[in-house]
Amino acid sequence: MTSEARGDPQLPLQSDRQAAMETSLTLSAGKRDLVIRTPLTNAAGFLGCDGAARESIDFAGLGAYFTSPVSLQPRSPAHGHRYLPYPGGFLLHTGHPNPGLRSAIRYERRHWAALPCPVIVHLLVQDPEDAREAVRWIESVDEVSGVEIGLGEVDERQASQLVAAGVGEVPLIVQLPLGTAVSVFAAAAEAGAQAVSIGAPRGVLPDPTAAPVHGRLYGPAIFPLALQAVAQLKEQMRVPIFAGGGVYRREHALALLRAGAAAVQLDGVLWTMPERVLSPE
Amino acid sequence: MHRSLAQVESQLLSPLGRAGVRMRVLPASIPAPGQAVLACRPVGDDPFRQMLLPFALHTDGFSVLAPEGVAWQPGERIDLLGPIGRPFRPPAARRRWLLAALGASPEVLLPMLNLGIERGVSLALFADSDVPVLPPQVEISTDLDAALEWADYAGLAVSAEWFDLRGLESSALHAARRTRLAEVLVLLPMPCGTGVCGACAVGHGRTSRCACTEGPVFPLEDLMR
Repeated sequence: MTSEARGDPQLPLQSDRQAAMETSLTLSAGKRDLVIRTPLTNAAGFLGCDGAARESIDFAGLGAYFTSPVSLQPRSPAHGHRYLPYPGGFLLHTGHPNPGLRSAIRYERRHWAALPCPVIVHLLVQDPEDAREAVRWIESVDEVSGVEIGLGEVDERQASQLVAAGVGEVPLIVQLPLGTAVSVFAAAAEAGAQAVSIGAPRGVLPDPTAAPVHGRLYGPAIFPLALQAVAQLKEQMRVPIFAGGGVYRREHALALLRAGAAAVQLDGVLWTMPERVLSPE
Repeated sequence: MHRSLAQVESQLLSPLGRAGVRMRVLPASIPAPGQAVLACRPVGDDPFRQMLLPFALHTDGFSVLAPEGVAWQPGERIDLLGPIGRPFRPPAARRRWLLAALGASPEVLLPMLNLGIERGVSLALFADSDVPVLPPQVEISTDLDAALEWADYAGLAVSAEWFDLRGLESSALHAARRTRLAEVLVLLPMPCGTGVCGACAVGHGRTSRCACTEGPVFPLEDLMR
């Protein structure tokens, strides 16, 4: 088994704004190459699982399409409040409802085959055995170019175990929450992650009955934290970084690329005014 | 999903005296009773779209409550996504309508009341909160069970909190089945409006469905099944 990342993760540091939006990043594992030519992608969970969002988003303008999170077993929606807006952003706690990996593959692979950009399946895993099994399933799906494994709030040891279990014949991106990315980045890279993505930070908001709701935070208020994290991770620069969090303008994306990100994942802006980032200047 | 630009025409008060705005839009962007639109400013960094449910429909637009914390000014352009989802669909043959707001403002049912008046049906409204001044054709009901016995069609609006607390086991929903045709507007926030996020899922397990794509108005029988 071989795995490697090719291309210059610092390429977008070029000062020219247009040049910053052209990249060539290749992640390879086994006989599969994940080639990303445009440094803008969606974040998992923001364009669904079947590419139906093509009706409103030009997927040809995306460097890759990340599916919504998929777990080995089907998952139901979370109980209680799943969405809480606040000034500057919103909290999501959906429980990542999905039909399970096997159903997703069965029903969505024909949609994935029709997409004009590489497909990366985001895997929700609980433990190393989960990760190993999920990746084995994906290895049999030619329509998928890579996997992204979301690690959640884990320490270095847990990160190493989960990442090592996910290393296989498919390029592997490991998603780290913004809050822990800096502390476990090195461990994830050493365990075999070919690239790291920065996921949404977690937070707590009171619901209308004052009960605390834990969830993922999105919105422009996150952007300064994301930019700071990229700057810190760049110091360690072991593998390419997919940065994200609060990107609502094209200049936000450019700032992350200049700070050293290889690509930028878009989240909430895809539900508001995606053209503010995706449309060329 | 249909997107369009609206213009804020004026600021006004809703029938219950709350701050609202009148929006001018193209006819294709006017929601049917029960449908919502999702709105944000096309400039600036609005972090999310506001869910708007009209309290009045006009030939050239609609009126909605002003979103909390947002001050849209007359003349301002607003980007709309929608109309979202399935509206109320009362059959023409049903002539005794009960509209009920449970944990929700009855203002969201006012477009349905106007539809009923246009159709010349008998109308009753039940609400567990303040009721605005209504046209004389509308009877205000204080006894939900009795009103459900009378009606041959029920259009309910339930808030997310009401639904969370009582869900499908609610005695009101079970009683509404006696009308033989009831529809429920579930007022859940719909962040994406396209069925992607799962935040507006109604029900659990394999039978859950998204309010933005399969609702927000559900046939009660489908929900209870």
